[in-house]
Amino acid sequence: ICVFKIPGREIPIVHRVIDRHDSPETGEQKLLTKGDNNNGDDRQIYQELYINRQMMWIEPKDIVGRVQGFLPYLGMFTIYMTDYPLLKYALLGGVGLVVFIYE
Amino acid sequence: MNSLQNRANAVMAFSISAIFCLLGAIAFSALIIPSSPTGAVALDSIKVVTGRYDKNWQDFKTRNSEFANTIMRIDADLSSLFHWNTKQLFVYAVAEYSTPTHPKNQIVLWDTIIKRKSDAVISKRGLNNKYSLIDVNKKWTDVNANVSLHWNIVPYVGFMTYGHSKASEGYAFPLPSGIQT
Repeated sequence: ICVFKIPGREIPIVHRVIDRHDSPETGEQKLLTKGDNNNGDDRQIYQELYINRQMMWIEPKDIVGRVQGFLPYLGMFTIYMTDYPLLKYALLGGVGLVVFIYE
Repeated sequence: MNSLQNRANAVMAFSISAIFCLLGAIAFSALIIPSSPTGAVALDSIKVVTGRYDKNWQDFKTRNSEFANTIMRIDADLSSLFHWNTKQLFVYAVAEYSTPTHPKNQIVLWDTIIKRKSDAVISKRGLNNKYSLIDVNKKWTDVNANVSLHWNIVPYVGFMTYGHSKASEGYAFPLPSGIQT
């Protein structure tokens, strides 16, 4: 399962590689990915932008990383902060208050 | 000392460290659990057809791409891979072959997700490949492929682990007209 970015799209996609064609002499490697819950492969996603309309494969240069493991719910803190800005201000305000009172 | 703030701070710090130690113990202990999974894929028949369209295939430029339709049988017993840290198993059958232009190719023919130990014994016959079996060069001449079963243990906490069965013997792909090479 790898993390890759399509040129022109800023959000990376985390999907599983289902096809792989290597050519070590030319150094090229073609990969096709697919989300586990999708019926078809990711070509529709590769070709969403007009500049990529003929893109059939991704290559190692598009890959940003690889999934190594799971740490569930660790990101919930950041998600709550972004979804409820009031929480962010309350937390910062509370930290400021504590600094003022105890120093 | 001993104010409410100090006590709350101490409890929070200790509980967070304890939780992370527990998660680490689960993650690392899952790596050393012995398991004995068995699996085998065999192809009962391969037919090569030419055409422009195939299941879910999205490259419509070539009128006579060669698609291989296979009928597979899969036998596997993966119940030993289910332990306290297994959330689900992603099992997939891979065909591996080499061509003159690309020495190493792997294509996933079929996959499934297993969520319970009771579903982990697979015995399937007459299975069609779920995804199009087509080479980069869109031709299957002179290709010999072997198939194997791979699995990926998706944990609750910890590391993704992979495994696979032994590769089967090679299968030659027939010509589109049906002549076996």
